[in-house]
Parts: sequence; structure tokens; C-alpha cells
Amino acid sequence: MTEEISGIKSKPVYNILQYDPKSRSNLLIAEDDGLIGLANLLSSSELIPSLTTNVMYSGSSIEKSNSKSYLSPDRYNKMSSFDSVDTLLLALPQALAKSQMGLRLYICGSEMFLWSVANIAKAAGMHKSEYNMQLIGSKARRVYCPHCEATSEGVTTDIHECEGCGLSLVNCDHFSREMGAYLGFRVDAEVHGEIPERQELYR
Amino acid sequence: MTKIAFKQPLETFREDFTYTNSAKAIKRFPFPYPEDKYMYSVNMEHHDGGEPGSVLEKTFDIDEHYLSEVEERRIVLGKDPKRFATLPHMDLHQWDLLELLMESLAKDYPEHFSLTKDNDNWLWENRPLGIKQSFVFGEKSTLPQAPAEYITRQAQGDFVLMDQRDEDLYADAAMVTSSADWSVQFDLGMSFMEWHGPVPLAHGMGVFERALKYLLMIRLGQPVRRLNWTLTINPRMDTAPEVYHEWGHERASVTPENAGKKVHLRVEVQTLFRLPRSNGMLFGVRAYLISMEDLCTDPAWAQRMHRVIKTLHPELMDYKGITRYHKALVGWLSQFDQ
Amino acid sequence: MSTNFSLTSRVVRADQVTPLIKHFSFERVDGKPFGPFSAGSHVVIGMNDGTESHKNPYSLVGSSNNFMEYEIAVRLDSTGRGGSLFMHNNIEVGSEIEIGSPFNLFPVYKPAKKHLMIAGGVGITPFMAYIDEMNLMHSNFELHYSVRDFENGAFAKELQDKYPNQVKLYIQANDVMANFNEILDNQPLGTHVYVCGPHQMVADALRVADELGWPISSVHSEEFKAPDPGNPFTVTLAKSNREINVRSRESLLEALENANIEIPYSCRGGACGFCKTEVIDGEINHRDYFLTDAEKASGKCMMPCISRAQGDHLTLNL
Repeated sequence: MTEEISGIKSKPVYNILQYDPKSRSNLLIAEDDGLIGLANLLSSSELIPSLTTNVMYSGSSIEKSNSKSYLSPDRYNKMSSFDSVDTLLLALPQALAKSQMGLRLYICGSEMFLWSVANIAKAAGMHKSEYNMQLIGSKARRVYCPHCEATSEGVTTDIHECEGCGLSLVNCDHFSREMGAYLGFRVDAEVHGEIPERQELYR
Repeated sequence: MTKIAFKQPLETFREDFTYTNSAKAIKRFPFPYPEDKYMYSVNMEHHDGGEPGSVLEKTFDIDEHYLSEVEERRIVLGKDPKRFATLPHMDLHQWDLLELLMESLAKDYPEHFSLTKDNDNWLWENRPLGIKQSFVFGEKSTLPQAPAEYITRQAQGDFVLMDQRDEDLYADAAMVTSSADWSVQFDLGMSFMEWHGPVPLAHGMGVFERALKYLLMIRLGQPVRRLNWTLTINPRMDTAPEVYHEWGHERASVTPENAGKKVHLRVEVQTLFRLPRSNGMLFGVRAYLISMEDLCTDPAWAQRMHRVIKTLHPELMDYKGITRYHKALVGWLSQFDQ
Repeated sequence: MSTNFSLTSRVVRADQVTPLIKHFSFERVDGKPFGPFSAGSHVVIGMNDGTESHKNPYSLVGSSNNFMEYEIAVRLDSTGRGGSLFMHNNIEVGSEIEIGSPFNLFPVYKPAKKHLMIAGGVGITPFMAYIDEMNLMHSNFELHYSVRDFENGAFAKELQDKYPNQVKLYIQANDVMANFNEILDNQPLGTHVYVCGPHQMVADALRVADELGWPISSVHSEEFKAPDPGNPFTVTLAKSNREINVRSRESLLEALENANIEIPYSCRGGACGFCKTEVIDGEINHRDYFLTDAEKASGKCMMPCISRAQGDHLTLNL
């Protein structure tokens, strides 16, 4: 039997991107359908057009040729498109190294994407009040296995097989922001082999 | 007289589980329940002494299991060195911890430990472990390990170093080899609310908000303490999630006949200290284990134990991992509450 | 156990560093070392001038001599309530005063990538301890220090000699003023700024930081301001069944202490929360930085070190 662990207070809660009026420059970062969140933000009347606003985007859901015009072109200075999320994440540290205090990040995409970006921001010295996150896209989880220290990406079910050690893990809502991952643990530790049916919960 | 008779040969907390408590250890065991029904509370008090001979008397209690627990820590770190982990900005906190432990142990157990200082040139002696270490306080290269790892390898209990910033506390360094089912690797860097995320019931009551505010204001020289408890099968110190896949099955091995021997009460004396140089906080978790059988040699304890376990809230039962053997345990304990 | 633990201490050095600033070093009368403290900590010095007692918080300068001594800097405030005047005129080598345990409301932000310190006059005091810590941690730091003139700038020569690339002096006598826009613009991500000095300087620096988009989590400041005066009022103490008067130039906390009622305290400026007191009746004029908006609105608690009665009476649960 699975012990139900619910209502855990470390689980992150996301909101719609809101423009920070104190910002001196803006960097908007999105993957796939997250572009919608950026578009909404750019159309916000509070956005100050004189400030530098740049966009970094990696996406396939919206036609690449369309993406630049999807956002109102007079509302941002420069958009950089990336072939993949990985190349975007590789370019981000350099962009931040050239930035100054007063920068705000607005991040939109799947949960895994949000935390990948947030952790790069943190490594650059940014505080959580300097970046905003909105979840548009997959709620699939990154799950950390304490037994073998591997993380499995894209987990949509409550129980999955660890990509590192093969054990069946149940993941709970205890979330590590440093890792951008949920905690998993062996589901049949008490009675080996007693593995309940898995349910898809995080699409 | 603070000279202690350390258990020899060393007891084990795994495999053959040779750990036992002497009559003296049973008598000083920190029984944690003030009432017949248990409800989660913060219950902090000043950590400034206790009854002579009790576990609360000294700043950091050393007992007959010292050598065995030091060896157990060595074994755990050998298999999984990441049970000691630190973020880069925690050097000052680590030196604070080293100073606090060395000074306390030397002051409270002069037969076993001594500390001599000549400005920053320190000499630390740990006679039970046969250690004589000269080093320069503040110079990492003069110690064989990181300062916090070095000294906690010679202490009983787990230690979490917290950085105080943003009106919050962050668990940014820790030595945890006797974890009650939480992972240092996973929780490293978490804020107070985040790492308490999994604790049931208490959140709705605002318990953690108030506790955090209280902790942020703790002053130098005025540490506090509280007791926490859980149950463990066999005298297993290391019940971390990392090895849950190894020990989890033990929960299913309890019967009404063997509950007395298998089920152990684990009481943690948790201490909180303001650290002088870093302005951080030390969270010390000192675990004491006793079998139900040994605990119930005291009739008053036995009766209360039965009542507490019988009436335990299901969410707490679940969180403490007791559900699977709850019935068997209550069955065994009922003999003491007729 | 009282949280207002204090130690009788003796002055071992008293230097009039500038006409307005006097440095004092203290040792415990029992001969034991004070022990280490964190950079940014303050202590409360308690003394009695014959008519009334004064308790003032002061930042601790960096420690030497293996923590045998504490060192503070006192700026003479002739318009104040007498504490600094007493210290300048009456406290000399050999004098005995009470020193409370250190508490830190202005600590170094450990994970910062860069530490930017802005000091004005006596505000340099906590930064002397900061620099000790920066050296230990090999941190990236910059100090911008405004003084009236070079000769009288406490520690100015020492700082400039030791850290020529990291310390910038602004000497008012030469008409060189710190330009906060220049200092705070173009700082890399992960910089934290710390400001300590006269009230107006701190307010200006904070305003510029805000205008330049610095989040408040990256901006830290400390100033020890005596509580502003207000209308006199009376207080009923419900538990002890007493009435006390609070005069216009004293705080409620001071009035309680003068009536021999001890409550916990630390910063004496409305920031630390130690003196939080339950209010049973009466409208409160909240002036603190500790209580939440909800707590202030509830009218059930207040910070006596700085807040006062809105009207002419309060009933406290003391």
C-alpha cells in the first residue's frame, strides 16, 4: 500500500507573470508555449518601453518564423532564438555575467525549465525576488532518487522506475529548489514487490 | 565525576544489532511524553543544564555509546561521504561549530578531552579516540577535513549549520549520519519552511511561523532545546532516505510477540545555538535509542507509552512510518496497561 | 533567565579621535575575554549619570587581542538626550559601565558575490568588523567612506593604506561628495549594498538604490537613531497595578525602566522585536519596523522602545 503524502508546504506555487515596476532592465526567457506568457507580459501597460527588454526563446510549438512577430516587436529590443533548451541554458550564464543590478527575469515554460533557469540565475547571485516564474506547459517532474543520487526527467506518474538504479520510486511533493526536483523513494521498501498501480498525475 | 565507561567491544547499529542500554543508560533515558496523548508542539526551553547525570545536564551529552556511535558515523561516511555536505559560504559557521564543540567537551568532560589555545594555535586532545591534533584556527589546510566534518566525526549526534538571512534560516551545511528519514543531499540549501514541508498538521496551526520568529531572535550564550521522538525498528541509527530501500522492510517484520525487542523508541534532544562569528545557528540533533522491552522495565513509562501510541493521530502515525506495525505494537504494549 | 544579561566592564582606552567622535575600549572586570562576535553586531551600553540611566546601542568595531576587548565609537549628539554627552564628558579610562550581549541586525550577507559598503562618519564602525570578515572569507568588497576631513576621519588613513584599490574616501572638506548614482549604477548581479551613517545619508542612498532597481533583499542599512519625542502620556500596568508617566523626550521603554520594570530589549530602535509588549487598551502610534501590518492593525501589541500612545493613555499587560 502506498502511504499518501499530501499537502506538503514545500511544493512551489506559480502565478501569472507580473511586471515589476522597479525593474531597470528586463530579460524574458521561455520555452515552447511559454511564449504566450511572455506575450501577455509584454502587452502589459506597466512595462516601461524605454528600458532594455530582451528575450531568449527556445521553442517548437509556435512556428519559429512566427515567434518574433508573436511578440509585439515595439515592446522589446532583441530576441535571441535557440535551437534547443540546452543551448539556451548554455548561453544564459554569459548573458547574466554582462548584466547589472536592476535586472529582472521573467521565465515561462514547463516546471523543469523554470527551475533550470532559476538555478542559473541563483548561481549568478540573483535573489528569488529578482526573477518571476509562470508555468505554461508540462508539469512533468524531475525526480531525485536518494538511493542512487540519479535524477529522472519528465516523470508524469506518481510511481516510476529510477533511471539510475531501476528501483520503483514514488515521488512526493517535497521539492528542492536547489535541484529543481521532487523527492522520490522506493515504493516497495517495506514489502518488496508490493508495487501499486501507477497513476498519471503530472502532464 | 564525568569519566565515562565506554561500551567495549563496540556495539553495532546494523546487521547483527548488538546495541543495548545498560541499567544506568535506561534510567537516564529522556522519556519524551508529558501526557497520555501526544500532540505536536514546539515546546522550547532554555538549554542551561539539567539534573546531575541526566542527558540534559551538559552542553553536548557524551554517554557509554560514544565510541560505538563514532565508529557507526565512520562506517556511514565510508559508504556515503555526502552525508556531510556544505555550500561554499559556510566556512565561518564551520569554525564556530568546531570551537563550540571543542570548548564544551573539554569543559564538561575534562577526563576525556582537552583544548589548549595559544592565540590561533590550538591543541585538541581526544583521549578516548587517541587523537592529538595541533592546528591553526581559521586555516583549513591545518586540519585533515573541513572543520565541521573534522569535529563532528568525534561527537555523538547530527549537526545542521544554518545561515541566517532574508529573515529566514537556510540549512546550508550538515553532518547527518543518524537521520530520521530526511536527506541532507536533498534538503541542503532549503529554507526553514521548505525543509519542514513534509511535517503534517503543524502548518495549519502556524507553529512553524512562530518557531522561525523565535529562532531568529536567539542570542549568543542563550541556547534552547526541545525533544522530538519517533519509532525505529531495531536499534538502527541511520534511517536516512538514502538507505530506506535497505531498512524499509524491517517495518513489516514486527509481530505482537517480537515488538518488545524490535521496536525502539528514538528520542532526539534538539539543541539550537546562536553562532558567534557567522551569526548563524547550529541545530544539534542527539538521538537516544531504547527497545520497548527496556523502556517498559519502568511501569509508569510502559503505561504511558501504550496510551500515547494507541491514540496517535493517523497523519502523525503515517509521517513517522508507524502505520504498518501499529496494531502489533499496541497489542504488545497493552500488557502494561490493564 | 533574563534576556537582558549584561556584564560590568571597565574602560581601558578612551580616544577623542575627532572633536565629535570618541572611541572607547572595554574589558570585563572579571578579567575574562568577551569572546567573538559577528561583524555588524551591536551592544547596549548602560550607564547612570546621577539623575537618570542611559542605555544606548553601539556597533562593535572589529576585534583584536583575542576578544579580550570590545571597541565602540560614540558620536557626540548635543541635541540628544544626554547619553553620548555623558560618554564624551564623563566616561574615562577606569570608568565602569554595563555592557549587554551582542546582537546582530546588520550581518554580512554570506552568499553575496560582491559586498558594497557605504559609510558616513561614525557609520564606519561596523564596517571595520566587516572587513575582518571579508579578509577571512576572501570576499570581493568595496568601501565608499565619507568623512569631514582626512585627518579626522576615523580609520581613514589605515583603510586607504591597506586597501588602496577597494577603499574610496570622499572628503567633504575638499568638496568631494559621494555620488550614490555613480556608486550604485553598473554593479554586477549578486552585489549587496550595506549603508551605515547619518540618517539623511542612509535615506538618500536607499532612495537611489531603489530608483536603480535594486531589490530590497540586496540592500541593508543600519542607523542608531534615538527615538523621536512625542506627546507625554500615562500608562496603566494591568498586572502590577501601577500607573506610570511617559515624558515627552523619553521612550515608553525608558519610562518603564526608570520605574524599575525590566522588559527584554536589544536594538532600542524598533527593529529587533525583543521588547514586544501586549496592549490591552488605548490607541497606539506605531513607529517601529518589526510588527506586521496585521499586528499593528490589531492594536494588541506594540514596541515600547520607539512607539507611543496615539492619545494620552495606554494599558499594558505588564
